[in-house]
Amino acid sequence: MSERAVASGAVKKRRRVLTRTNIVLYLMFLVPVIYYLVFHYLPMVGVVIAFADYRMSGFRSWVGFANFKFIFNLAFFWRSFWNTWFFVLLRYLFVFPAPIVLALLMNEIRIKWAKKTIQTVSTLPHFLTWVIVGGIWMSLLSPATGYVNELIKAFGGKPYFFMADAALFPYLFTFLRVWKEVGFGTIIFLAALAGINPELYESAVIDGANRWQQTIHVTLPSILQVILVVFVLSFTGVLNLFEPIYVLRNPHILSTAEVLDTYVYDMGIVQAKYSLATAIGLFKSTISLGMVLFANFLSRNFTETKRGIL
Amino acid sequence: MRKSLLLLALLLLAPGMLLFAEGAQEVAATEEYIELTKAFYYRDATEHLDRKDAFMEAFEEQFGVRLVVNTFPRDQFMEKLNLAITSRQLQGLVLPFSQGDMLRYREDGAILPLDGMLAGNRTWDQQPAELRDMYKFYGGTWGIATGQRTVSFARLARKDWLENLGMDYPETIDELYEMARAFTEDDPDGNGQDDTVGMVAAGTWNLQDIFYAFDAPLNGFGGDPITWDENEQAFVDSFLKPEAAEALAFIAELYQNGYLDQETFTNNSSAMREKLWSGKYGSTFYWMHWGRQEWTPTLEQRGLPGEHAILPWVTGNRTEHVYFAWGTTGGPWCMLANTDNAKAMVNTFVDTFLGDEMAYLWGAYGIRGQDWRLDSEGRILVRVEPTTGQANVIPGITAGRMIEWPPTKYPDFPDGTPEEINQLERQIGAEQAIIDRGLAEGTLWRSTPAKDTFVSTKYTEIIGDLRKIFEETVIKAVTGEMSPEAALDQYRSQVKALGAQQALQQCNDNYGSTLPAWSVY
Repeated sequence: MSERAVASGAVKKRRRVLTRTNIVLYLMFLVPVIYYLVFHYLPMVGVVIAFADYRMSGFRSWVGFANFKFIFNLAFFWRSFWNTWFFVLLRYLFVFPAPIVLALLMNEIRIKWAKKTIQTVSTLPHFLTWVIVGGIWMSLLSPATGYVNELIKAFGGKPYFFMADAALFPYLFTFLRVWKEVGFGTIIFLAALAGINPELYESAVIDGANRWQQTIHVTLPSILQVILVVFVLSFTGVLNLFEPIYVLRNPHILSTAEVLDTYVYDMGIVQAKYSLATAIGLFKSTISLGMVLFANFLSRNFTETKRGIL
Repeated sequence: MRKSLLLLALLLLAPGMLLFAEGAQEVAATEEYIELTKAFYYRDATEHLDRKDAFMEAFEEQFGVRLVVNTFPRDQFMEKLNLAITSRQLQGLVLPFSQGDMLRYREDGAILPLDGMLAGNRTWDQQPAELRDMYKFYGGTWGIATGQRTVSFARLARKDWLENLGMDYPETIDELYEMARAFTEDDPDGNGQDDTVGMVAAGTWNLQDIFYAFDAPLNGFGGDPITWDENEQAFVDSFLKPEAAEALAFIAELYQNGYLDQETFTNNSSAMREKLWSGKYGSTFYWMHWGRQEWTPTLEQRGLPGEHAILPWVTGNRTEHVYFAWGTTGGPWCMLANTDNAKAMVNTFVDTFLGDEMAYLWGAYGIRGQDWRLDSEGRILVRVEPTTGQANVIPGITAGRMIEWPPTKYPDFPDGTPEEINQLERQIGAEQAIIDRGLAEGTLWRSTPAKDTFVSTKYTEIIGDLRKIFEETVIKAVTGEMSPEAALDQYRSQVKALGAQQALQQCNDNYGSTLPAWSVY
């Protein structure tokens, strides 16, 4: 029998979708499907209230794009919009590269216990919620009782209210994000580094490459695909800033700390203006979707197959 | 495989079974059934659960009316209440914090007017007109007031510190500044350390006396400067006055010199109270009775020396009506629009709590004999909590004092020895006398819900952004980020863009007052 005939026969032979073995697997799969349907897809229908006058008593009338026109005329909306983008910029300038740099540095450590200690210590903050992280740092930085200010006073300085400095806040927040996530973020890059063929380094050494040149010409190109995947996937939640900002914001720093998520919360949950809040949320989600698609499109230029990674 | 299938079936069925079980517990609506939703029902949502349930059971047994009281945590109570109303989780009567919330519910169609439902109710008709009309706006009654007692905020300060420093009670704004300075710099507790702060506040709420003294009053709880001005007899925006710049400059000086707590605008009221209890902060502007009920007793409990004093309301640019007293009503009870048996329920509520004096007292203080008792002199003695040593764990469905009842008919005290009660009676009498004297001398003016309610759809629409702008204006001026004049200029343009002029006009049109020429953006 020719190979072609075998292949043809295999195609014609219909595989049973439901068998005694896989039906359980399908049923188990049903649970997350139902979860996603109920909690993630069905609520999406609710975005229609962005085009309606929806009050606490329920639906009143369709208003077309009136809610969008209204929010686009609000100064606070635009302030939170640009603040959000500034946090995105800082994220890609500092938060995204930090785990790569740390992974590269840790990869150079030859003392095992030191490497493991650094990894454990830097990973631990990831497992704390932002509520805890916020509490810790607000206490540390408190002008009245914070250890940082106690230290400043001990050296003869004047206490400084760090959390009340609007200009400082974006950078302070970025520092906290790095502190919280850098260790956990290194895990995937350390795994990628472990997979690099040692022969590449041996060849580089024979060619006279020093450690820096090995990093630039061997290590980074070898983990580029992983960096790209993490980069593209990072766009999925890049505008989601509610929890940390909600925890850390205070009236002193609203001019730089207010972001779209907290503005939606104030408008929707606090003031019960559900239609306006949904319009802002829909606007933000549309931008997020656009960013993911754009990042995926860009990733085509960096993959061997010239296909997007999503 | 069978085991796996069984497990899976159980997993899928469990939520349904739980839902069914929950539904089975629902209470059938009858005419003698009242569903209420409020904060501060035996304090907070998760506190005193046994006493919450016991009260509902005992109330039904005593008065034949089934009560169901829902309670949300006081932290973010309004947010949770809004969501529960919108998602139709609640029925019956709800108690928002203010009449402003009530008007917002009215605009959203979430509550019903009560006039039609209460037509012909003899108990309601017999109530004093002042109480019946307390929440009458836009031609309808939107809430039920359940009592009234006159209260006021006042500046509380450490009496022992004043004595240690040989200072008299400050009466003017300059003397208040000197007190804050001395409390911070002159070692008022005499421990030889630089560890005291003159004033503490949780935002502008606790700085109201300063704004008033400079003649730039803030509304109700100091939330924003769109307010009723008794001297102008109109709703105004007091941040349009040059005096507002003076007030901001004064507070900025306090703040920048360290006489006012540096965390003033990040403190919440719990943090502020905690600082006062620490024994290191000298004064705040707060509920007048808080010093008696909590500040001094807590300092004593913690073994810290210290006693509070109630200071006079300070004068400055303004010498008349420098603050206000008002009748607290416990908020308006509002009937949700989606309530199945709204008419029967609201009539039962009125007949029960306003028609039966004993039910009214139960609603205020809890189970008679357990939570409170009447002594031989007709005084209500409220059970003292063994854990806190305080007597404030009550249902608070009613407000504790009806309008037509003389204030001395049912005064309430924490239960204790006759000497303790007599001493408290004297203290409470002294506090009341301070308010009465203030009203008689014109230092205080008496506010009413009509003067404290902003009947304006525009105001309701802009209040969120308005308060943010106000807060940022104060912070920029006080921290020195901007000069007070520049901050106020920015405030004026931002608030004008929101449409605040229309809000002011609507408030005055509704009240029948005339907007002063200066109060224009």
